[in-house]
Amino acid sequence: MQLVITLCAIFCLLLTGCPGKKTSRTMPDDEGKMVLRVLNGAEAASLDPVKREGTPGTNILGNVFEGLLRVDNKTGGYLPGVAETWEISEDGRVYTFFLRRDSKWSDGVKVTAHDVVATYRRALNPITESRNASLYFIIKNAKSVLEKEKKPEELGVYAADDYTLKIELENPAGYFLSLLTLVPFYITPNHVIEEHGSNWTDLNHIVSNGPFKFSLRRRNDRTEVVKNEQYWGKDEVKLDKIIFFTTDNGNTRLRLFKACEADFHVSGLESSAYPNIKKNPEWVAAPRLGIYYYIFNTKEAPLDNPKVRKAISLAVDRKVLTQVLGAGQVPAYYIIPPRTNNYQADAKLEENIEKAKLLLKEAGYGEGKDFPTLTILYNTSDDHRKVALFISDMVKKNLGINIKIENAEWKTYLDRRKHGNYHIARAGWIGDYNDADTFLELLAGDSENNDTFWKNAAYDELFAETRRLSDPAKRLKVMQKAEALALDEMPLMPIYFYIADTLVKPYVKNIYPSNKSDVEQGFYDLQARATLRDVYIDMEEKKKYFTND
Amino acid sequence: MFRYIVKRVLGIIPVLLVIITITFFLVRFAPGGPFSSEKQLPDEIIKNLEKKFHMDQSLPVQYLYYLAMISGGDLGPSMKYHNKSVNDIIGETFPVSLRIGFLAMLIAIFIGTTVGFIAALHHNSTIDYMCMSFAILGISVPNMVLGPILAVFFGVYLGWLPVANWGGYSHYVLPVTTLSCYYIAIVARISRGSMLEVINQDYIKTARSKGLSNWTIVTRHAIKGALLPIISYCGPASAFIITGSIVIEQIFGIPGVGRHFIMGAIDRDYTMVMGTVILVSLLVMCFNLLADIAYCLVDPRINLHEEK
Repeated sequence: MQLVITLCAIFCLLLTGCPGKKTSRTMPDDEGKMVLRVLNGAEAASLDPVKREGTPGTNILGNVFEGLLRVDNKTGGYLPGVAETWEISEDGRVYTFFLRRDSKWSDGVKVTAHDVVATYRRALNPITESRNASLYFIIKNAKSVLEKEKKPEELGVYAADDYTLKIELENPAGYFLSLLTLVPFYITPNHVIEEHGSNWTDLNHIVSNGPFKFSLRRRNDRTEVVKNEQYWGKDEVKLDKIIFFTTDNGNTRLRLFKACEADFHVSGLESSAYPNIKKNPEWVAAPRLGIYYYIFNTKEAPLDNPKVRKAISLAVDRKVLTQVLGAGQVPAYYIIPPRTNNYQADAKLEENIEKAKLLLKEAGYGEGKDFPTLTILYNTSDDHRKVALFISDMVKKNLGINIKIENAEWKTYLDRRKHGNYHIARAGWIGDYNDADTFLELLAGDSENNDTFWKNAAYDELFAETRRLSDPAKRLKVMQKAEALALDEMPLMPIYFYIADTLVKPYVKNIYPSNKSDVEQGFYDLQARATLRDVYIDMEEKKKYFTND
Repeated sequence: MFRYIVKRVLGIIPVLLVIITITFFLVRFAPGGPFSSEKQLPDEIIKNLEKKFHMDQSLPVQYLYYLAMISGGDLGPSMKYHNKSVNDIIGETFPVSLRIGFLAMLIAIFIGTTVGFIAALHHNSTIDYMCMSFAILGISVPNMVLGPILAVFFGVYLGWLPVANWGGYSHYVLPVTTLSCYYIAIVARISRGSMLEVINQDYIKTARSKGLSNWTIVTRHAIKGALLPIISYCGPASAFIITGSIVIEQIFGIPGVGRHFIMGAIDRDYTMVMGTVILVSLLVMCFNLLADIAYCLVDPRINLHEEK
């Protein structure tokens, strides 16, 4: 009996997270060095910036390599990186960058404009198999170079001399500078790649030009990086070492953080952690450049009718849904996330059951009569299931329509989406770059990422126009028009905007956001990148934290 | 015996070929492919990737390519991890799983048989009931429950042991304990049953009537006979335990090979799936052979020579 009671007690502890009991813990012995331990998620597929995949890999590479510009971790904006200054031509199509002369690779070789040219040409060589190739399409001739219609030399990136670089764009993209802060645009060492080919990312060959350099990599365990003494801004880098733990299980990450075995949990808490985790003062959440939505298969009746799509969308109470989910997600009444650079949503969908019923009636399905049973397809996950159940219940209650839910494992789900083998499907999109363009592109008729099969000439024209315009005010107007049109036709149904939540120990300084007031003041990166260049640890505070805990 | 072993080893080849063939086609018939992702890749790059992995050819041709490749011991490049071969990945991760699995199996055999034999020798007593209650608990509490409980209690609450990750000896304690619990329980039940059967046999009665002490009877006569069912269980079980478990690896953040079985299939990393299937089939066949050889060593009545 006693055993049962003990086991139950332990189990309760497990469920509630952990007791409030304060245990003093042994501080890890770092020999007086400043070491930051980061819980980083799954294994990175590649250490090559132009081939980066997924958030964990991006987190590591973003701190090891540097681009022409670097991320301002307080605002998510950009700061001079390898490029010290730059000029933009009047038509917004030609950028000239003047590179700093003290930027070096970790083996002491200088970083030059030729490295940049070689990097972007390599990224657009199909043999490189860059998973980010479409990001470079904004550069002149990039697409034709990838498709081998033009030679690599015709790519709009030229080195005038060792330290002057010119980039020509296809369109006057006002967001080009923020694009340059992304890892796929970071510079790779041409001299090492020429020598070792695709094996240049092996630990014994790889060199980097960022604040840190690789020192250890153990598959599915950890990647360690140490301060790069050749880095031009090394005086501003305080951390001696960062350990990125490869831990793909969210519950394990949470336990590691609670046991003080790590200082910073980047993202991806399991839904079971909520709402308890929100009481923890080390938890902080900020808006994120991403949207969770459902797509409609617009090829088939009844969802080929915009009125039906709209009716379903208007019948869902997103506020209640986000409360049920409980992590602080923001209900989405439009497509482009709030705070996206150079954008302010104008149109907005209004949840209205009466209007939804009316729309359904106009479509010929008054009170849900003769309406076929639809299915919501989602990839297997408790959270997706919760959302799907909620929405199907709500639509049934409000419109009398039967919607079944169906899960499929990831690749099957992707396959069915791509081939239009679904009625309604769950989808999510994290903006590649901080501009409305990355979201508007989702619905363009020729977009590879448009699985709704919705093709609208007016929308495509508006979208093409946003890419041609350089005047921000005019561009904003056209983008708003495009979004309004999409909301009116509703090929996709916005549900909520993602948040990025992190856990960070109080002794880690210069991490943004690290508390609520940072979020209120807008001190966070909307793209939730873990930029650790300026981070440091208050060693006194850390000691106190471990002794008093 | 030598002839028997050679024959069995040669027998592995056709079995392996059948397994490879079935797996090769099964995994390719699953929807989706290694390069499908939420964000679509440009066609030019997909084409290039498919060419690199011969996926632009027909399935039978791909199959022949694969056979040609593995006949040289090369399991091919991983389709998910760039510039990494499946051999590299298994080479890095298998030793970790091997160490954890081996320790867990050793503990399971040692504690399991001890507990089982004690229970059998005290048949229907309180000791017997206690041992078997623990065994049932061990079997019915799954790893995914036991692991987090141990991690929270000893790691987060008491702070005695590391919660997860890989490093010194202290990192072995919790995963090995979690992994071995189930096997301890099973081994305990099997050894109790087999010991009960053996001690009621005539030759034990003879030994007893000769006036031998209980200890001598058990250690000299009974154990040998009681070990046979344990060996036949532990053979294949060892193969599975040393190839790792995704549950244990995820709970304790262990860089083992177990996760690649599951993740390989989820990611449709074809070469990885094939590599792990080949690894586990080889191990199962080898351990079965070892179990058969062990039979013969333990029980002289069993003869591995061919019957004529």
